[in-house]
Amino acid sequence: MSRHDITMIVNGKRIERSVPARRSLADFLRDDLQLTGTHLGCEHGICGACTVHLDGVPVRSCILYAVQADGAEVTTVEGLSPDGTTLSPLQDAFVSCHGLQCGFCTPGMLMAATALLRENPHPTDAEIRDELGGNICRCTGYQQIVESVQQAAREGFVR
Amino acid sequence: MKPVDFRYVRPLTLADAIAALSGADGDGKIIAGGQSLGPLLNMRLARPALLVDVNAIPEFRNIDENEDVIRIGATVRQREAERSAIVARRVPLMRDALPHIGHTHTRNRGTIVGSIVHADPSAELPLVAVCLDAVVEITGPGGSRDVAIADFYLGYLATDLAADEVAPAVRFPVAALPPDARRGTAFLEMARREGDFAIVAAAAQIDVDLRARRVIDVRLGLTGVAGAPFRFHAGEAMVRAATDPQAAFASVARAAAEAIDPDSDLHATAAYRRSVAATLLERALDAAWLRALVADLHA
Repeated sequence: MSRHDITMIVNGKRIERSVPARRSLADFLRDDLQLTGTHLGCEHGICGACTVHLDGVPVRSCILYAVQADGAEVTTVEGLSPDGTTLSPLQDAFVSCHGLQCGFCTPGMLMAATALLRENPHPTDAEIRDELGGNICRCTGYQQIVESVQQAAREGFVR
Repeated sequence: MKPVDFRYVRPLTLADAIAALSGADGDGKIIAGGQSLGPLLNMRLARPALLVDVNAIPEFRNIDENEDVIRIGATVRQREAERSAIVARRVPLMRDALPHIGHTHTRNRGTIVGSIVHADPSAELPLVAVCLDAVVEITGPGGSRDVAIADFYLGYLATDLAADEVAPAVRFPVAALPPDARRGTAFLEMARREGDFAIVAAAAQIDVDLRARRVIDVRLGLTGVAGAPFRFHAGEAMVRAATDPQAAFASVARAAAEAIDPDSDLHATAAYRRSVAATLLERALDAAWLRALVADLHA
């Protein structure tokens, strides 16, 4: 077994911890940092529930080990709030368009859609479906998820 | 699930990576993007004692080009290649294949070289490599060697890469086309869901002398039909020999269905794979031909 001292910026805060090599970034976020907004569904990179941003880019945190994120900047769903209490425009849109049912896939959907809107502020439905195609909603509420992203885009998603 | 415990190192040089692998007595594994290895580790299908993370090796990060070759380093992400002007211009078949691989989030981590050396029999990039006569650069304790892709794949998930060797890059020969010639490419696949591995995929690249309306070069291949990507040399010869190439595409596709010997599995029977292979190959030929004749079609 190997343990590693790692340093990363998580949601703007500098974090220093010691982790075993086999700890996934998702488990590190949830169990070591108590950031339980990141959800684990399949734990092998298929469902997208665990999507976080690594140096600004969406990735699966279940098949990335925490030690690999040493020195990186990580943003989780908790980091989407502009001030820690209010919701981001995209999160607001998910509320008003019923973009979530059970909520399990929602953190991954939000991280995926946030990355999409930053790159492409006015995506077509097809572009949204393509980008979110790697995130599975077992409630099958896809239509409202696409509508939520469209609403956020219409209202000028700015983060 | 959680992986079995392993040791982890992140060397800064190729020499240190090889030294670490050699010290693991065959029980070490390179990790680059981790999009195939991560699931295998989590499901405990792979249980290496040591992971050697090559992401910090600076010279692995580059896409280099000269007149004849594009060289893609071991940690170039699939997403980077997808957005690379060099790849789009000089390796268009790869550019066509990339959107079929997983999803943007997995392509953000997954690497070109990693997919090629992982050698999943239904993966897209091994087929591209086989069609383009790529060369795998391999370095181990005994030095460096280049392996032609035709010799690299030994069967289902099996390659010529030894347990103590690293593949720092894969090279793609990309000699310039003659004047008046244009290249058309197409990569088509059938999968259960968008982003899944292909049940069958077909690749076609056709270089056409526009003035003579003559095929200068053609590359055809299929994946998902054998333990390794299938390069359809006989079909290429049929296209080159045809006086009216387009009229030959249907018979080339039928010949492909005869030439392959796919297995049946949970996803598709052998007969179904044959049928899909022929259909996709004919469509890929048509699309590549049109794109060669009408450059603007190549979006």
